[in-house]
Amino acid sequence: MAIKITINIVLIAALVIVQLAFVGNLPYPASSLKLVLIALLYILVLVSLKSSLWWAIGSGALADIYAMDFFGTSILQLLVIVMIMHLLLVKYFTDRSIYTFIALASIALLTQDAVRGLAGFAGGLIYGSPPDLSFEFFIYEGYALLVNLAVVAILFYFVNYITVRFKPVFLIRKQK
Amino acid sequence: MFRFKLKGYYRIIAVVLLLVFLLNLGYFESVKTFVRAGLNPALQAVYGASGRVRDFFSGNKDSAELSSENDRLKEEASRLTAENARLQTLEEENEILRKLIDFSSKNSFVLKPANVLIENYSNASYSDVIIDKGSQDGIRDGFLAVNSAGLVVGKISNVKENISRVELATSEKCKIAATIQNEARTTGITYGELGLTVTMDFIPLTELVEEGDLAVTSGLEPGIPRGITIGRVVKVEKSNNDLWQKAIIEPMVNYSNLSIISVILGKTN
Repeated sequence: MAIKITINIVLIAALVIVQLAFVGNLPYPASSLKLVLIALLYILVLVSLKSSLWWAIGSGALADIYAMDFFGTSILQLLVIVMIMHLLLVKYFTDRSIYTFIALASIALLTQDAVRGLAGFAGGLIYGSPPDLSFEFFIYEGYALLVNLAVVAILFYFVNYITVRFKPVFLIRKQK
Repeated sequence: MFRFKLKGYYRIIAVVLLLVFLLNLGYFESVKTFVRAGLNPALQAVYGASGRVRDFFSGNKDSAELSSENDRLKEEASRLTAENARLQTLEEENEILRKLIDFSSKNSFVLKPANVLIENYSNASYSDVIIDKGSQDGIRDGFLAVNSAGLVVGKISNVKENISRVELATSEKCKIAATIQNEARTTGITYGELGLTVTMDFIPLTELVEEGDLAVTSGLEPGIPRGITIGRVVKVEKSNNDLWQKAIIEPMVNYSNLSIISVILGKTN
């Protein structure tokens, strides 16, 4: 158990370090990749809600350690996103097809953008600057979404190739 | 079904919310500092690696220089070994630090060199960076950050024990008291626009500002010495109906290539 926890902590730290220090410094649109969100989606579908929640807490906490204003923004944001993805997964997307992954990833990314947008709007009110709702902003967000969905799709086919977890199971009634 | 499944997680979420609350009250600050001290070297190493990846891709994008750049790189690649590359990195860092010391001694500034750990934390394009020095190194809110050439990079906007956030001059949150080096010595406040340029607003129409004029810090803010270059005026916007004119300033710092920057702590006695 302790080894499992340690491995998870190391993996979470590695993921957050790559997201913060590596991805953020890459040329656009690669810099808009949301590796943590994509990882949470796959953990939710492949492993369990519990694991996904722990990963959300761990990765959110590490990201928040470098947040200068308010500790907890990333944790709460990721927890909400995992909950929404879980709700949609069990209520609406009952299969594990690529369409499910694309839909869940899109909703997760848009939710994160909406939360960030609201935070930015609140910040704008404080600093007296209007929120950026220009055409370029939406183009930027559109490209970011496409890049992330492309990665989700590539990962889906890769995981599908190495495991049977996404493949449908047919229950065959035994003939008496 | 969903409600039932979530029941087991209420406790986890309640504990997390309590921890978030306590951490925001300032408890466990030493734990955060300890974790950051462990993560900072890894972030620094990964940030350096990403810079090399970005340089590689951005070099390929410039088709005009592609041919000559390619030849030069081929020549370099055949000559340099892995050891040489490592030594070159060290030499570059040494050069930056040497320039910083030179800048510091020429201007009698007390500088605190710092490594950039994270770029763009707030997710807006090139608006801030996180550095690996904080209050324990003497850094305070409002101090000025400069590059190795002594050009303004930005302003410290938030300080923790062992990290700080630098709001880049091109960020709209970064406001610097500045002077334009024209005949009238126009003074005002500069602020960033769209992560690309710097603007000085509310300049009286009677003052002549021209393209090419340098904008420097005015020294009217506490903790910020005067005469540090912010950028060069590239455009002046005015119309006859306006009371004021506006100068668009292009920063002279390459923000996509920041690895070591320096914070001005004050002047030597």
